[in-house]
Amino acid sequence: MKKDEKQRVPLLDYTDKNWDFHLDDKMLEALSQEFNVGKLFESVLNAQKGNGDIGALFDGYGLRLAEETLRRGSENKDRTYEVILEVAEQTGGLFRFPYVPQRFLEIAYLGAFELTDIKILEGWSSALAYELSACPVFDQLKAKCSAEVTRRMPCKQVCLRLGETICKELKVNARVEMVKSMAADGRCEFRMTREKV
Amino acid sequence: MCHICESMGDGKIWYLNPRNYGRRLYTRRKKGVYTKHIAMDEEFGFGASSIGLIDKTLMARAEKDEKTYLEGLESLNTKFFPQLAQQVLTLEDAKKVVDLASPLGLMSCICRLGGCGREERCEEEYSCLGIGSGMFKWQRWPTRYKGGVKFVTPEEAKKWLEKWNKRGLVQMVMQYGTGYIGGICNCDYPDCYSMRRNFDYDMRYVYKGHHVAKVDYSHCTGCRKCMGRCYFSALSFETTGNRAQIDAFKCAGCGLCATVCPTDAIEMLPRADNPGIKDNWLIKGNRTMPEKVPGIRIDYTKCKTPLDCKKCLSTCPELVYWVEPIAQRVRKLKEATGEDYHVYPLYRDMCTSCMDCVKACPVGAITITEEGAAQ
Repeated sequence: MKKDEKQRVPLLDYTDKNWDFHLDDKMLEALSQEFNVGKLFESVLNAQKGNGDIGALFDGYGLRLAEETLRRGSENKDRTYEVILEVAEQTGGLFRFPYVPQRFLEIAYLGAFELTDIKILEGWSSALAYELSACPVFDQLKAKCSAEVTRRMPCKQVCLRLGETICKELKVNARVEMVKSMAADGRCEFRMTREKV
Repeated sequence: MCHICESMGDGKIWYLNPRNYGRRLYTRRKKGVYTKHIAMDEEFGFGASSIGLIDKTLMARAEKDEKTYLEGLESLNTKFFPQLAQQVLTLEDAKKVVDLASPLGLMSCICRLGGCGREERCEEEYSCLGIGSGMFKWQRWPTRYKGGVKFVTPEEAKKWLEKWNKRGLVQMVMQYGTGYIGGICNCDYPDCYSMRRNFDYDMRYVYKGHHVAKVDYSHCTGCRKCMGRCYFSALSFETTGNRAQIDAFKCAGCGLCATVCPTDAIEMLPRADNPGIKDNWLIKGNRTMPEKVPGIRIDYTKCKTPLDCKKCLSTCPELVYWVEPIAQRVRKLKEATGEDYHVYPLYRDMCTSCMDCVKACPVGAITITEEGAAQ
């Protein structure tokens, strides 16, 4: 055997691997059912009639969505997630951000909002920014609430609470903010900026 | 600013803009139609759309069909390549890129595999730095990533960049029309298909970088260490003055001459500061039509797993052959096997009929005729 051949890693054998790099369809379907946007708006309309705090409803929805996403996403590990965790381990946790929170955010949006994908605008060690150009929650808000409520966009609390809870539970020290809004800019942009430790 | 900065820079040099370093991890599959609803562009980048036209244009030159060749070039150079955006950068800028990008994975070079049969199968041999969320899914293409991917920290990546630079490889940042930066290539001619097609066929894949080299004559000792490090014909030696000479119009800004200079006599200056070359981004290649092109035929009933064999690829002195996956199988995202690859005499007009490949082929699959068609 030549000297350089000794150093070579063997060819990878995938014959016994049954890897799935995609999110579990059943998990996404379950989130779609559980966090049905139509049902949310039944509660929103009832709260409006009774002068209730609709901001709290959106906030609670975001919190529950984050908790359920974290629970289901941790239980249903796909191969992509396994590699993300392996890479984080190999690099001393360096690349845990943005990819671990990003994965859970994607699960939440692809599941509850039934989006095909979300547009990641920025994903590096200091920040994760993403854009929603179509949003079923905003669509319902626009269709069912007044122009004044639509302009205020209380629904932003869903995404802010979702991001904040995911960061908190994953122990990521980041500030979550809405940079652009559907009402003013035609699309929402959220940004998680890591705080300096 | 180059045209890529205008579309992707947000006021910065495009590859230093953090907004070019993010991509989704997942899509929500529509039941049972995942492989069908993903377009080639979405999965493999805009570059995938140009493959057919590139092959047609290369073949047209081999067939001495100048009209089709020039029409293909015109279309590629104006519509496709400006969006593919592969740009030369200095070692210093490459290091800035790895501070922005993640994850960072050392991997084998697809050009060296496809064009020379050079299989890089361990960390010491790797010459490509993959970037971005797609790297987490490398195991979907085991044949492509033989040997695996070695994920590294930014500090480790910088050491690898220095090593590749020392070897004399041109660093280029690439996004291949996907809208996000997918890697830093470490290239040389003729291994790199972008450089080769740019130099030999005038397919303008490669954009000059944002810097340009300048010699400080008071520091140049005439040691000639920089000679042979320039792929862009910008560097020459002025014998009478005993000093290196750089043609700023040809310099692509890779800085390979500067990093080897023992007296730091070569400085990399911003291209934008030099009005004469600030908009000079393109590298002109050769458009001369060949006079005589041999006919090369490959019997695919005999040649079934070229990637396992690679004899023709590694033997040919002109690197005429190219091996690539059969598109349809890749499109379906199946794990490729050896039989999913075909070898083609893609650069047939470069063939000198030396017959080395015919002699090297263990199954007698290659036939070369004095002049004629290819398969």
